[in-house]
Amino acid sequence: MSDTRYGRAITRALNDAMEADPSVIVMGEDIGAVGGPFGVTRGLQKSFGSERVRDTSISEAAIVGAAVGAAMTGLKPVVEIMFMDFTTFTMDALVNQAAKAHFMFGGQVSVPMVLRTPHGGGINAGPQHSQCLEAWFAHVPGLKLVCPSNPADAYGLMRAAIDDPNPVIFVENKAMYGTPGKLADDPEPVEIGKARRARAGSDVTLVAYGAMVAEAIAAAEVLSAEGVEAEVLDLRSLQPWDKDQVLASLSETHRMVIVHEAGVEFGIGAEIAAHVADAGFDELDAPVLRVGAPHMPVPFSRELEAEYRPNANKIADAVRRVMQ
Amino acid sequence: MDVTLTSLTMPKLGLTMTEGVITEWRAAQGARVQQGDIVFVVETDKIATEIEAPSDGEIVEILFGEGATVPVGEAVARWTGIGMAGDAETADASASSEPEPKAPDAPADSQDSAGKTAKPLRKRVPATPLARRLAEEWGTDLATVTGTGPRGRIKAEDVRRHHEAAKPAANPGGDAPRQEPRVEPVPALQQTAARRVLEAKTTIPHFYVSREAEISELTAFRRQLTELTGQKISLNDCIVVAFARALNDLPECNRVWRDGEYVSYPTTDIGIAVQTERGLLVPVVRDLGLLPLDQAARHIGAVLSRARDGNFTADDLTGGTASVSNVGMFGATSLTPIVNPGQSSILGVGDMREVFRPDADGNPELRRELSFVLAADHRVLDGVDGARILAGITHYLENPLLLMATPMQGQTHVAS
Repeated sequence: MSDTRYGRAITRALNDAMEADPSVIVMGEDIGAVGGPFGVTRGLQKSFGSERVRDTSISEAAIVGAAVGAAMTGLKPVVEIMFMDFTTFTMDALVNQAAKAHFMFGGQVSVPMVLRTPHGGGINAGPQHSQCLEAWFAHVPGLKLVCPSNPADAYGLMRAAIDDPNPVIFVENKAMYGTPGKLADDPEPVEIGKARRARAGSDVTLVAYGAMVAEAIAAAEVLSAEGVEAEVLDLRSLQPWDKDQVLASLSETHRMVIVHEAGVEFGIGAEIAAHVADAGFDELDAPVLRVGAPHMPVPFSRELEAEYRPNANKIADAVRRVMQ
Repeated sequence: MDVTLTSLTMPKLGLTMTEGVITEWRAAQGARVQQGDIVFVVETDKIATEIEAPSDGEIVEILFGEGATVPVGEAVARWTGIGMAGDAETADASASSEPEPKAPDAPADSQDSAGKTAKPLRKRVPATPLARRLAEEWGTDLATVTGTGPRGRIKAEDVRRHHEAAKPAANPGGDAPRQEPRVEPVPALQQTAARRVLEAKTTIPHFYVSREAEISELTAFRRQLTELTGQKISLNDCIVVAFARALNDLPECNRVWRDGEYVSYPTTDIGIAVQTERGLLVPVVRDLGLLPLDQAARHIGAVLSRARDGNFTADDLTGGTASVSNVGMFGATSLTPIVNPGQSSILGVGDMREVFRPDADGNPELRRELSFVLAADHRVLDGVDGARILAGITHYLENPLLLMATPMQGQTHVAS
């Protein structure tokens, strides 16, 4: 067990995967000598050479198009898209090629690639560098989607994503790269599709992922002082997501608040809430609430962005509402 | 002013209620009432019930005065509030030309301007899905539950509290947790016994004859016998022997019913019900009718101790025409027993009681009485037989010296 950080855990996962499997390659803008804008690929080119750790042109469409082709012909590419906002350029290759190939070619081909990309605000990067667009990918059959909340899961999910024969969108959080945590000396992959109970509680279930898990736990501590014990579930995987564990928790607490940094409208939380309203209807003792960003571009201003982003206070307020 | 009028009706307050008497009008004609106010009081054959206004409204016309008997569902007054459940006229309630005061959560269609097709009014009770599920499971009427959630929404906790509050009536023990009954297999001996008593009770046409025996003399006799001989003769020994003697005297009663035939026994064999560690057993003591009491008592003692020790054979438990079941030692005053299958009668014996009876001169006389109930198979015996058997038993017990005399087969001591 050693101390690490969210970004360093991903670096180690990439390193371990490349050591374990020579078909794993890494591609992206400035990821080689520079080590990426957030330093996640730092040192990899030195270890594995510029053939396997490739700096690319500044064209997201080209990067992902190349990755899909490489994946279909035997490599396991892990590409970095510098900001999730830039995945707009990658959509044809991801949505129409990567997600469909296995289905369209009768199972004769798979696309074992990973697209790493950071979402989220908190660093005043403005409307075009702060978006949380994961719901777009969750909507496309054929793509898997994960979003770790801590260094250990970041490592484990990255190893699982690289091992997975399907295209996996690996969503990082740019405000969390420095988040400290522990990592086992011989860490295991984390199974995609399994949530994690981050805090036990009996009165309300908080479903969160990514950076909002820590906010949910902070809210739970505040609420605990008020006599409300919140259970916090860290989804870890968004597509597929752990319906069983979410419903099992609901059947204990009978109340649910879903939290994500992404916009509330048509978000991941909408899907979870709709499923719970159906499969968990008779367990509900209060309306299911969502806490997320308002339906507007992410503001630049530090004050406005702080107001825009969900946080522990907003989560606690929502819980107080469902406890009424 | 075109004001919508609906009816306040005689409510159905119980499953069997068909009409009710209006005992009191709390609201006068022309009065405005608020939702929940008591409007009138109805008396049925069971109880008087105060009827609340289902919404705010004005009592425009009272149709039945105090003391009137009104069929269920019939209008008792016309008013401006919403109709009561089951009020057929509510369906054609028409629009009001002026805003009517009404309950804030009354359904919007109560004032449907189209009017003519308005649905019968049924107030929706806001409740969470879990609260509804629990109410369904526990048979709780949500309309009787007070909701503490936003806008009066009923939550699971409200249903639970209501359910708990309703419990003590059913569970006077208060907060003691309810103990589930224990289910366990029945041992083989009890299974057999259960099958046999069920068969006996359902296939033998039982009838019962009862009588008391005065045993003051017998009690003195037993004491004297013990003093003189050292042998202890129990009261039950005396009863069993008396029964055997009685049957010996009445050979036509010493028989049983078997597959449509009478089976007569040459000997008088009496079963004795005895509680053992293995359960209730009825070992049979053979040929008692011709033995003097002291000898018979030794036989009885031997058979009973074999039964208690578990050393009995199947033979010990079969045969005989009659049995004795004595619960007197447990303080019971009488016992109405079930004939042991294969036999034709059984004598239930109660505890001795000291009672005053009038003597020949009408003065109180202290008597020590035993209660006998003879249960018998009517296919074999009739009421006269039963009475004769009891008379015989009583005769021997009230004349205990006869128990010491060696009887002769068919000898009759009973004048009948």
